[in-house]
Amino acid sequence: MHTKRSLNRLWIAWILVIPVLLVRGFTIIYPIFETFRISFYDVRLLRGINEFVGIKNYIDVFQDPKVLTSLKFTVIFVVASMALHIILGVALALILNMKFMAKKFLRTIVLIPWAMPMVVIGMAAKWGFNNDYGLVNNFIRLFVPNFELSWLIHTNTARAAVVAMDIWKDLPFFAILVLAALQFIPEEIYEAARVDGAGAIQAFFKITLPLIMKSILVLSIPFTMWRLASFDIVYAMTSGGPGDDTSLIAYRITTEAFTNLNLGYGSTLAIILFFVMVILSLINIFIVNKKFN
Amino acid sequence: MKKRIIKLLVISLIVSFFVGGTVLADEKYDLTLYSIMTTNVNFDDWLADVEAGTGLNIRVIAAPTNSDTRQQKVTTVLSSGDSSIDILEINDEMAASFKSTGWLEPLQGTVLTDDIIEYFPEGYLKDMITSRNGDIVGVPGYSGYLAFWVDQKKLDKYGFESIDNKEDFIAFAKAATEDGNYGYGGSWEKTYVFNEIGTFINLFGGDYFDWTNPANKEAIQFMYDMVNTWKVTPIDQIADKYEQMNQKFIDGKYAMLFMWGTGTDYRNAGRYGEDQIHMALMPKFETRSVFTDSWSYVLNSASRNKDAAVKFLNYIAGKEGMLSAWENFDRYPARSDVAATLPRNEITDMYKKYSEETIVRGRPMVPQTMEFISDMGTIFQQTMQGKISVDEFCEKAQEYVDRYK
Amino acid sequence: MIFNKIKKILNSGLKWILALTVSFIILFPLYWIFISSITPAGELFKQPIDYLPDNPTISNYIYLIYNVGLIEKVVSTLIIIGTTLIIGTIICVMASYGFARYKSKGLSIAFMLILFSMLIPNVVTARPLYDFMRRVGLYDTYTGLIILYISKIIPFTILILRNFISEIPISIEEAAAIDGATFLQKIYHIILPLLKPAIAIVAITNFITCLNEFFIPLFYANNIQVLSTAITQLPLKDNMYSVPWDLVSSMGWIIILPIIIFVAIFEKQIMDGIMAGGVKA
Repeated sequence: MHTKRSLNRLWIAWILVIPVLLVRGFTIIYPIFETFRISFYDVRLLRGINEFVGIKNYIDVFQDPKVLTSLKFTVIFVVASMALHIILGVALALILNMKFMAKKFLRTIVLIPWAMPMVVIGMAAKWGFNNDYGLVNNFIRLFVPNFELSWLIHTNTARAAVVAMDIWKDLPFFAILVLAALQFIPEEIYEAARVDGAGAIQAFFKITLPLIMKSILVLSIPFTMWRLASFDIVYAMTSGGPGDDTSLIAYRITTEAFTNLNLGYGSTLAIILFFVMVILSLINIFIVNKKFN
Repeated sequence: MKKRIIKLLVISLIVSFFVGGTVLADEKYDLTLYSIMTTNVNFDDWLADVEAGTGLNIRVIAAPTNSDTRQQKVTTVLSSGDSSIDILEINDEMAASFKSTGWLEPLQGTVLTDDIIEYFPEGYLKDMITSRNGDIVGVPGYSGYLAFWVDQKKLDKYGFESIDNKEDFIAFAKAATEDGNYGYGGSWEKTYVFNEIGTFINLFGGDYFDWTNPANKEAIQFMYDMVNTWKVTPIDQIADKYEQMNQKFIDGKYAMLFMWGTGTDYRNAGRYGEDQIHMALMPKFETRSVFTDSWSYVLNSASRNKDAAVKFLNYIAGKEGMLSAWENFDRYPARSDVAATLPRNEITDMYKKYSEETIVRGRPMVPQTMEFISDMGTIFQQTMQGKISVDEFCEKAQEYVDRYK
Repeated sequence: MIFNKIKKILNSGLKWILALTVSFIILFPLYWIFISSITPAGELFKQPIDYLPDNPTISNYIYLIYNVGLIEKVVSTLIIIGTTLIIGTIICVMASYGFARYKSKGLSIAFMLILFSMLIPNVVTARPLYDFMRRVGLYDTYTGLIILYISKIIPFTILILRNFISEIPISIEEAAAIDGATFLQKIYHIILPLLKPAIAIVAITNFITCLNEFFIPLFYANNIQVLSTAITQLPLKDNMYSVPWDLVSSMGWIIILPIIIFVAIFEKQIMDGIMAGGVKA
């Protein structure tokens, strides 16, 4: 497409984009630099402390058991959730791609979780996983009478519950994006495969999967980032418990910044999170480019 | 059809845009109150009382009732010198955090004058809302106890008259544990359980800030035994906040527990009464002691309406204000002289008994209270689950005391 | 032949089973929240759960309308979202046109920066932004909230609209210019009509995004309260700690119901919007 304009018209373009840059900059530029600056200070408002400490916070972070627990769970959460997103997401996309009567109905249904606020889901999940009164165990008891399990008090089941709720909310969204990629595969390829005698399963692994792989990898970037930065699910559902076993790193940051008022330390965590996200994205983009171009 | 809906939406959005452009003109008011009670059915009556009693026009902002959120909001407002809010209601956890920061206006002399101060619970004032320099920074809105509650049906069933000491307590707990029900119930969620730990430490005569004290270890061991040795209380309750615990109590899953308030939950569920769930006197282990709590009204030192605020606080600290809170919110007056004028019923009688026969203490709080509370909760849960030993718990607890105090 | 028929029946049977399973997993929790909200508080904790409450009641909803200031919350939510969508869409259309039709190094960098800024999580900027908003006097004001909301929707909106504008052949505009149309006429008579479906897509998606926004109204407002944060303001029990499930569930439904209706009406646009964003990502 040829869109080259003479440079003297460029000022129009800048006038057009300035408002957006201003609004976006207004909410981001100062806070980012300020967070970066404070991360080198020890600011504890509840004790009236405010002094320059250099990189001490950065060193402390990696010896803080609470942070290490948070990091551990964050990694588990991101990896488990993303793996399930990819596997189940492709499966759900295939279901949504089926040709049958209730297609529109099904597509409407799967949009609901995506459109719901996480906080409402989290609050409901807190009750849903309650041993005595929750929906989950009630359902299980239909098949396993006398089933007893308090999901949110054991480390592993609490973590599983958090991942499950995350999947419940965001999987449909992921699946719809995979569905978009599926619809770009021309029908003729499948026809040709059928003529060659390939079964449905073979066709899936030989044709479908390779063709949507790039989309899946590209999609994984924002989805991974959202998982890294998510906090409202545990905010509403577990408050980071049992112990600190489900406190995602972003939840840890809000706790430090807004509850404990350890601003310096909280900022350090925030900056580290930011850099991790940047590095991960770059690696991911690099892989996609190398593999597919 | 769809076109019409879209049109409708666009029109309503444009209308709201213009409404937004001329945002509802500011009302005149003398004072802004950040209150947790706004969603109470009787809030408007209470506010009318206050406005009539003070002649002030008060703007009310609803504070979040979700405790994490509220803590974050209040902390942020005060720490940043926000002057848009004059009076806040804060709980003990926040009071302990803020009392020495200088964010709260001293109230002795203006509100808590010598003639009324003697009627407030002295231990509470000293422990909770007096700063390092001796300033009193809050007006207690009521007096509450973390009282002992029993299910009379179960007492009768297992043949107990009353639970008066440690032996009774254990025997009853064991007797009432059967058929999936437990003798004792607690709310052991990470940030709630500290009330329970403190209560047992007081009963055993320990000191929450000194974990070398053998009584402390005894108390933790006792709680551990309740879960793991005698199995009279379920480990599952480490997920329970009061909401879940009370529901289980109402459902007959527990025989006794410690709880704040005056039993509204039990009343609403039709389970309150002398023959059902009711308050009983604290048992005596080594000591007969009880925690008291309150929410205090505090004055933001950044406030620009201090005169009006003092007027408001004087009303709250006065007889009328105390009685209005009792009538509208069932909050037991913090002032002993006002409490003495209340009509007698089983709750007021029991409260009076508590104030006369038990050692009443404020809860052990430190400046970085929330961190302290949640760290203690974390290691307590690990101990009860057998991940760390009781001795390790005491060591770590001492570390936290030293770190946060 | 008969063999093929059986295969067909099996095939459609399998499709229905899969579809029903998915629907069940999504709808059943919503149904449970709903029945919790209409069950009288005293019967809420029956075991097993009573999936058809005997004495349904709407008292929780009435309570919320009277005591939680629901009406005010809906009004302020609409004010914020309405203004955000109108101003946000206007400036994003302008910027998208700029990014799509003009090329220079500076513009590409600006565009990359906007996309890149999606990476910055709320929590990283939260506290300094709070202090900043207070200092410039925008904390707890409609203006301040609207700026934050607009900022939130910019990256996604620009990404979608720029792609759409790029696909409009430039020759149409050139032809109009030869006919003597001014720049503004060109935009108004050619670009905007063609962009309508795209604008509908971003407006609908952003509407939901704004409706669900929890962090901004929670941290940057006190007096102004929107619907999504209402769930943190339900009445306390008399022990001053716990929030009742019957009210949580009703508040949840008040928040969910408009969303469900909205999604049902605009399923197609939302689908297209998500796909347009995804394919080009």
